[in-house]
Amino acid sequence: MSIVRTFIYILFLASPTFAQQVYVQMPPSTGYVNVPMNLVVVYENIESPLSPSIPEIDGFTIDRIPNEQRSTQTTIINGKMTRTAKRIFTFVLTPKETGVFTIPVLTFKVGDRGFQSSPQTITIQDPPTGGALELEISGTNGDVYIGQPIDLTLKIFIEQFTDPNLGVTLNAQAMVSLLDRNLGIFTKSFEEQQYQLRQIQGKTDAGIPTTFYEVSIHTTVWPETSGPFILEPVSILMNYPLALQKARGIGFFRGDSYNVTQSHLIAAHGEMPTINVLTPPSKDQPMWYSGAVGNYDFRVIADPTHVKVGEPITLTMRITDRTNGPINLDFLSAPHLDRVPALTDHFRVPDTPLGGIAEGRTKTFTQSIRPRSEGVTEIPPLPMSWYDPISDTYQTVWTKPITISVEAVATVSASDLVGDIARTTQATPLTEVDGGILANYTGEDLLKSQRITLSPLLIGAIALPPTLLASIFFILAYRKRSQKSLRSTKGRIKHATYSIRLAKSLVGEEQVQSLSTALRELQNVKAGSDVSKDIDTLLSRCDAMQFGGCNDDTLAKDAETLVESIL
Amino acid sequence: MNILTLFTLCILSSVQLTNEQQVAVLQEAQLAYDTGVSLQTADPVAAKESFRRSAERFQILVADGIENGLLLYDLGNAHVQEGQIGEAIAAYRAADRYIPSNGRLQANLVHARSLVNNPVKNTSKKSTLEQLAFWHDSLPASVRLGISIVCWFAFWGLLSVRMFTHIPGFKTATIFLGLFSAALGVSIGVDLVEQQTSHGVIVFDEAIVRKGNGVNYAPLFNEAISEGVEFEIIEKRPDWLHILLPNGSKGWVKEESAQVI
Repeated sequence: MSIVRTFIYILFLASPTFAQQVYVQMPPSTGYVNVPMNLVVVYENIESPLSPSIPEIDGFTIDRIPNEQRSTQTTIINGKMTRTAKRIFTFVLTPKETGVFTIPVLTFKVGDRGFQSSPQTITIQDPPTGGALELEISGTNGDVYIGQPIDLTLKIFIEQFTDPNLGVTLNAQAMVSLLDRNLGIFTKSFEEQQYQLRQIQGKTDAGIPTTFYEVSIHTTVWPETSGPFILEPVSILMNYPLALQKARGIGFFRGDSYNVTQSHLIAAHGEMPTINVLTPPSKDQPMWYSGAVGNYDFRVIADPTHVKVGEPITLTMRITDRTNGPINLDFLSAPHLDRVPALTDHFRVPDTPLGGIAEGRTKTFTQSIRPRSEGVTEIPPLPMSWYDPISDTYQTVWTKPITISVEAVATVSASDLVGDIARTTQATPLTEVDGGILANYTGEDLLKSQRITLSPLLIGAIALPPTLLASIFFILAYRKRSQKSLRSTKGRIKHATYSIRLAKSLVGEEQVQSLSTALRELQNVKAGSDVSKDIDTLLSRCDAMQFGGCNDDTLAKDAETLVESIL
Repeated sequence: MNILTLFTLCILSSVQLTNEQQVAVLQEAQLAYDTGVSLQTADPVAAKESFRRSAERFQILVADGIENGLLLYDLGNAHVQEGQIGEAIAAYRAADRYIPSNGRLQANLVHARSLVNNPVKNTSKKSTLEQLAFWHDSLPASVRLGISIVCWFAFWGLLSVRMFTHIPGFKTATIFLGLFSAALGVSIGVDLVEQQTSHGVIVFDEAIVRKGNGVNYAPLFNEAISEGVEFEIIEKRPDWLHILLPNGSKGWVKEESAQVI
């Protein structure tokens, strides 16, 4: 008996437990006007349909969050398994006014059973602070030139928050973490945590002295086109805290940490400065100017320096930015050497735009030039010009000339072979410059699609000639066959006529036999025609003579009359 | 209607532009190109932006279904001017289908290819068939089609006349006309097949060629291939292209890094 009791006891220990329970998580005992608070009703291990409600409570407006939450938890302690299925319903209580209010005993029924909560007294106050959030955007203002950076700084001022109940003040980093991440053109710098934080003293809009955290975020942009540089205004949202709660510590050494239990959204808006992007003036602009703005160093290396006429010499041009601050060399172009007369007089210089390689503050370009004639002894000084917005002038630096030697290329001209021919004028051969692209096409012909498609018209055109030929072939073949058939019919009639005429000279059985054969041939040719009946009659008379023993003297003559009528 | 809206409509809902809209877009493209040319010295950055705008508008027309050699040539020019060498070569190659004997196109294609940073050298030799069919690449498809149809009609016409009367040199003429029309017909057929995209160009600054169709496959070369490198497409798989490079190497590149011609 005791063994059975032990077995039942073990079974009881190992079986899951399904205790039904309803309990209420009440909101905190203090709250703020218009700041919602949650009242949570939890049903444990209850599967029947539920639709809990709570009565009206003085001082609050009540809304139920429509969907219920479900969760299941299984725990095993000393071999005893406990499974708990929870259904959670949340009611949002929004305080309407200040005062002390009581949430009464709440009763929730499940089947025949009723579960009751404890009453809760809540003190509602005005919010401790609305929280101040201010923006300030400063930096480049007015006119800039293409290629110049636009530096902008966004300063966000966040009022420090101290929970009046806990006496805890959130630090700057914690307050920054409550900011919305979308800060317009400053977002990238903000997300990469490239900002400075400091604590300053200031006043709220109401003139109350308070402490602010100042967040400074810096960004640089480069305008790509001239005209007004329009940047979207920055609008910032923040979940400004109203109440904190001490978080559960994890680990022995973990210090106190706090969660924001109540907050509200505040916003601030900042306008961008007005910036106008200018292009450098055309007055006094050097021919080889390629759009550089700022201050640069320019160096050139030539290799090789010993070449024959027409062979390439590679110029390596290094342009270094000598300004301070951020740079963007993407739009820096090499000078247009093809517009430097001192160079193009003696060298062929392509007019192709060069793609350089940027490294640090230096951009390197390579350009091939080819000497036009022997005797060229140097690459002349090469210029690099930029526009200096401070002095409002174009500045140009020149490299030193580079000594080279150019050998002649051995050529035999026609005149050398012919001999001494008098020349009136020496024609300078035109040399076509390599590289560059040719002009665009214009006009509405560009809109006519040239795509080849197997249209029904095309297929019809392809199929037409063989179809026509086949038709002609069949028509001709048919006509040929018809004529052949006609010829054959005529021949057979002629043959039958001849046989009938011949039969006249015969007598008796021989005559009847001959007539019968000829008439049958005629019958085959003229089957279905008007004379067919007459032929049948004659054939019957033949049969009567041949097999009936009758004598018919007019048979041969009648047969001849018939064939003559056919002919 | 805003150009961007037009473009979006074309792409998203396959709405065809009206003839007036096409003319307006073409005029804007040509104007932007001319503006870019005039700004090249004074304001290279604005010029580049203008060329980009021009290319975008030419592209709207191409996306609208206009396949015209001269239009594609202009698109290629705009891409060269804005520095998009890969896309420029792709446009020129597409134009080459319609105007293969156009000297300006060939010159600009050669120039665009010369701007490729690290071109892959072509080591393969032309087959005898390719050498014999040199005219395939040098005559526009419309011309080949016209000649082919004339030869075809003449061939069948001769056969028809021969049924009624004797024609001196009938056999030789018929054989030649038949062969001509057949060869040109095959050439047009090849064009029709090639319209189904079999070539491509790298349009990213650099693209890694891999040994398989996934980022986990090892790179085929130590170096990345540059923008503007052309290739043949052997096979397409989701997001990846199996390509044959001019040097005979075969590998896989991400589809987004290339433009299929």
